[in-house]
Amino acid sequence: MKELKTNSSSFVNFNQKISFLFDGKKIFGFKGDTIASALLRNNINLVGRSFKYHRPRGIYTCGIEEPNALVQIISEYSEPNTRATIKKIYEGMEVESQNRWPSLDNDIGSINSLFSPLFSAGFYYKTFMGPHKSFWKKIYEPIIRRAAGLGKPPKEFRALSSHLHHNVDIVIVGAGLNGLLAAKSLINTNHDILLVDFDNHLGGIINNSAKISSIDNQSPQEWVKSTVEAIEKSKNIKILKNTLVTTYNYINHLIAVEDKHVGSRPSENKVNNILHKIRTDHVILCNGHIERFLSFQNNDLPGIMLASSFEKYICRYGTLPSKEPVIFSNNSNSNSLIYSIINQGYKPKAYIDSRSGENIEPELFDLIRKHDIPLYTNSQIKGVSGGKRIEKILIEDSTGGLSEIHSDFLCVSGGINPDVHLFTQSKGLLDWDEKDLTYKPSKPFQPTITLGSASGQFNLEKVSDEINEKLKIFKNKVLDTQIVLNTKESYQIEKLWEISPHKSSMWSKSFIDLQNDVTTKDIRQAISEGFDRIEHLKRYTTNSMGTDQGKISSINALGIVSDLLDKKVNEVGTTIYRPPYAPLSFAAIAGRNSYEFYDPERKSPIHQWHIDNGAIFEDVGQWKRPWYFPLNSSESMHDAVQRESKNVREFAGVLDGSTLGKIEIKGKDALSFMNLIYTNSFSKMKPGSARYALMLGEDGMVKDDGIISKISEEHFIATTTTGGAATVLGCMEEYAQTEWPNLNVYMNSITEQFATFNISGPKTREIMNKVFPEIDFSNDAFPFMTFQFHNYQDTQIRILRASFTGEMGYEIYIPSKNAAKIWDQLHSFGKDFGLIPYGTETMHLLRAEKGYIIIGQDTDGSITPIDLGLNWTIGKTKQDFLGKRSLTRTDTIRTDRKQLVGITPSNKEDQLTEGQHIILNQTIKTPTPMLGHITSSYQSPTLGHSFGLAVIKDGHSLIGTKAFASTPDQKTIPIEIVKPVFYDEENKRLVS
Amino acid sequence: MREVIRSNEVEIKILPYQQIIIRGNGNSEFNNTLNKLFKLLPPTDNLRIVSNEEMVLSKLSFDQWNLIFIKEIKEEKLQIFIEKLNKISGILATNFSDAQIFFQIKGQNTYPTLNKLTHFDFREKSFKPLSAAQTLLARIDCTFIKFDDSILVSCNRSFGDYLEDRLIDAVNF
Repeated sequence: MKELKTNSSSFVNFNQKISFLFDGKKIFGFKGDTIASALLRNNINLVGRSFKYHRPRGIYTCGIEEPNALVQIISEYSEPNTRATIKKIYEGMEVESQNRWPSLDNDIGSINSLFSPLFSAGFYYKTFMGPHKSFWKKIYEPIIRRAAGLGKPPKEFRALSSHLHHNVDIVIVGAGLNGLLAAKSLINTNHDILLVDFDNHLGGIINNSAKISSIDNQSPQEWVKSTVEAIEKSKNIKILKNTLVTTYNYINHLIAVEDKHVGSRPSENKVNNILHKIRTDHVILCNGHIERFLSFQNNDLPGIMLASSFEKYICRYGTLPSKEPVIFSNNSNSNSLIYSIINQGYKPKAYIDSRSGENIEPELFDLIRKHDIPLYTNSQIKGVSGGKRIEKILIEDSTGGLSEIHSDFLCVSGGINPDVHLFTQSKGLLDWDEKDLTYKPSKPFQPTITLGSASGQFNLEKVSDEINEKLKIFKNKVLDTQIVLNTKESYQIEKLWEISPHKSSMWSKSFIDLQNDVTTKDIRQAISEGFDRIEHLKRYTTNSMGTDQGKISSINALGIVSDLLDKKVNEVGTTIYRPPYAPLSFAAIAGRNSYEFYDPERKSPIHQWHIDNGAIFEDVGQWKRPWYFPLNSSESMHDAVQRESKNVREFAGVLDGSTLGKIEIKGKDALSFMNLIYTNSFSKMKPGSARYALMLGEDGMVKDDGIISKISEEHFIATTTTGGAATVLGCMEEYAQTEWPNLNVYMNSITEQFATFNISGPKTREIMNKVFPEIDFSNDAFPFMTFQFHNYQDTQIRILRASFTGEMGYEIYIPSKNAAKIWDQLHSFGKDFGLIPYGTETMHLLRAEKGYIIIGQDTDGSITPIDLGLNWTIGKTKQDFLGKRSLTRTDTIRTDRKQLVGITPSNKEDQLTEGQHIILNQTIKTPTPMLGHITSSYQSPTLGHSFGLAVIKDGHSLIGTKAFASTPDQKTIPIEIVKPVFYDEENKRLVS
Repeated sequence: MREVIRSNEVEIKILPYQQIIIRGNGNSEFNNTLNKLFKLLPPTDNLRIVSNEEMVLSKLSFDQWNLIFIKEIKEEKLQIFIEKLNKISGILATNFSDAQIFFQIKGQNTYPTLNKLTHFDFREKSFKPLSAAQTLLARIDCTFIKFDDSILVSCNRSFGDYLEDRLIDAVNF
């Protein structure tokens, strides 16, 4: 294994050896190693196969920008597409390479390379074109679907992630040199500050390169240590390590994900990820820069790496991927790499620079001459060759002559880009810098400041000046930091995006996007086919659409396109960098809002009783409502509902209706308000009486229904549907405040204050007499649709005589804390009369037998009261009410509107189903005119057959007609259209 | 009173507070009526509270006040208060004692724990003691009332079990 024990800046613990498996083979590394650094330490360069062509791929970078080294972590529920360059190893870790079969060395998919001319840009879209449409369904799609993707989906697991919200004044993204200095200058000011860094060791470029010799007369590492200590001791700055800012939203809202198990196996009991949601007043972006590569023939072979990444492996991880790499560059940023290699006692095999000699730094020349390193200026690499690894490098020198170097490692640098992803996510604008050949942040859209290389300021000696200038708005401490560099240069670059190959063929490849296997030929092809707008070209070629978002190559693509189109780069434009900055797991996004916490649950006051008595629940919005009460585990839902329904009709049943909305309305103008809100007139109602009422929208369509109880001219209680409770109250408030502010009226929700029990059936009166012996429930004393207040065991209850089942019945309203007592009393006395609890399914069946509608089931927002046959609810002499005007529109008065009817099967054995279409003809021949559809249907134990409610065109005049209901298999059931009342049409049982 | 959890420097209890929601226009008749009944002059600024040893009166919107009895009173007395308030034409007083559940949360880790469930800014510069707020906690509509050493969180009773479980989870995780 290769470890550089003399490297003092490495954060790897060489005293703690760790073993892990890679493709079944045991590999040794050290605590602090990433998978990539450990593999490189063991001279393993082949780590995966490319997306389309299954070409051998190695480790290209040392960070989050990695396009190739994506692996599957088998020991973490098979987590796919993990960057080997950032994932730290731990003892017993199991890692597998991806996108290869049967093995990485011998991958059958590599045959794709032979057919690669067929898989050029846009081939996927061209499969839609033929030779016949069946080819797509039977051949192309199955094959592409099977081949697509890199890793395999993870196995079933329960990720433990949590969210944490922060509210601060300033967020500093990146704790490298600039981030630490910015934080240092803000210590103990009045600002609440969050300093966020992706690494667990702060320092950024200080740890990753040998550029800096000293800071304020301290070694760089000592300076970082003392600065971090000072920040940690401050009262106003909190540091988040191992935390990557992935998203910069509007308004100054950032999302960052913290890895809580860096270098260790995820716990099954502790949080593994925290998603930080940060709201701030200002953002300071110090997130550095990203190096870009160059495009030349076979620039994807294992053994090719970005120059700064090679240096990072030396400085940060104490490993040398190669003792004699060749270096190819067009800029001065890679100078420190030569310095770093020489410091380890080795030297590059050659240094190739595309710049002419006079543009290269004199210090670099001195260093190269001193160590006798072969130097090629004004030269470039025409291509590399090799099998599963680079073997030879073809150089074209300044004279145009060609020569070959044998080497197993090539470091490449095509320039550096400020990392502008977060800046552009924040909607900041970029400007093209023609000198530095990169996009730099220009105009921020939000209160965003960029510092250091993130702002395009590449001169390390000038960091203090920039910080002092840009942060003075925070009244920070003025800095005078003295930075001494090892390699003195100001950033200098010459334009070079791609190098044409010496010999080209249909199979030769020069890549512009490594992760998605996009070549420079694909770019040319896309332009020739008319996709010359950068957003079209991106989608047509999939350039920059991988999980790396083309971090090391997207600018190169713009450069190539600008040359091809003979336009300036800023005229070509950029594509939009979209969040997240790096892949974010769904587990992190969900946090604890999953499994049992997935959705808030609402429970009635007697929920526990329902559980104890075996209720099966259904979700009604967020409410848990008893659906039915099976007698035992073998009773099916159908049988339970049939039994419950029959029992209510013959004896009695009680439903927990606590979820229904209840609103108290009071005020001098309460009567006027209620007359305006509902269709009905309440003026002549006596206090103590109740009325079924409809609420319309301004479009005249039924929005909700309920029962209005009139306590006095100035005091009402309205019920609503369960789902409409909040909406109706909101509507009332809106109209009271905005449309009728002159009315003296207020309303309060009392849905939660009172439990509601609906008891009905022929034995109800006897039961109520037992539970409330002091109350007279006779018809004269307690007529239908009246209510009374009574005292009951130190509290006040209200009893309303009403029913939704068609049997005589009552609704009992009692404060929630007393609910269980009354419920128990009802059952205790009721059992002698055959009382049982029933659920919502039985409630639906019983009300449908009476023809009572359910809002949202039999209505869909397009139904008027007249459509429902509820003309009687409309107050004829009312001057105005919500929706009145719309009831006389041409659309609402036409006769062929869908109207509510009843449906029975002609053959009583047939079953009707909700959703069935009603048609006049038996034979279905498309297109067949549809009259309407069945909105509710049930099997009735009382009627002995199936029945339904439906809304059909001109339904009221079709009553008595025979028709058909369609079935999913294009057959029909003969039906009769009848009145929408199937039980006790004269209401004798209701008012008995 | 029921203790929910005491762990990780957070203590959560459920308190059986009684409550009245009062709607009105905040005019002098309104203020005088409340002052006479409860010896508290209603706050005029939204989201401010006034309190004494027995009750807390908060103004939650331009026409809504919540009166919380932190010392239990007899049910009859509560009903009398409500009846007296409802006698005034421009006031609607509703007994809300059973409609909500109250969590009292205190301890050094109160706000970091709550910030696992809400984006709300609890810093003193944004949320001063003796003020109220209405926001989401674990995706549930809640009211916060901040005291010097604790925070009172109330939500609809039907969400009570879910919120209790989420609070316990936030303390433990």
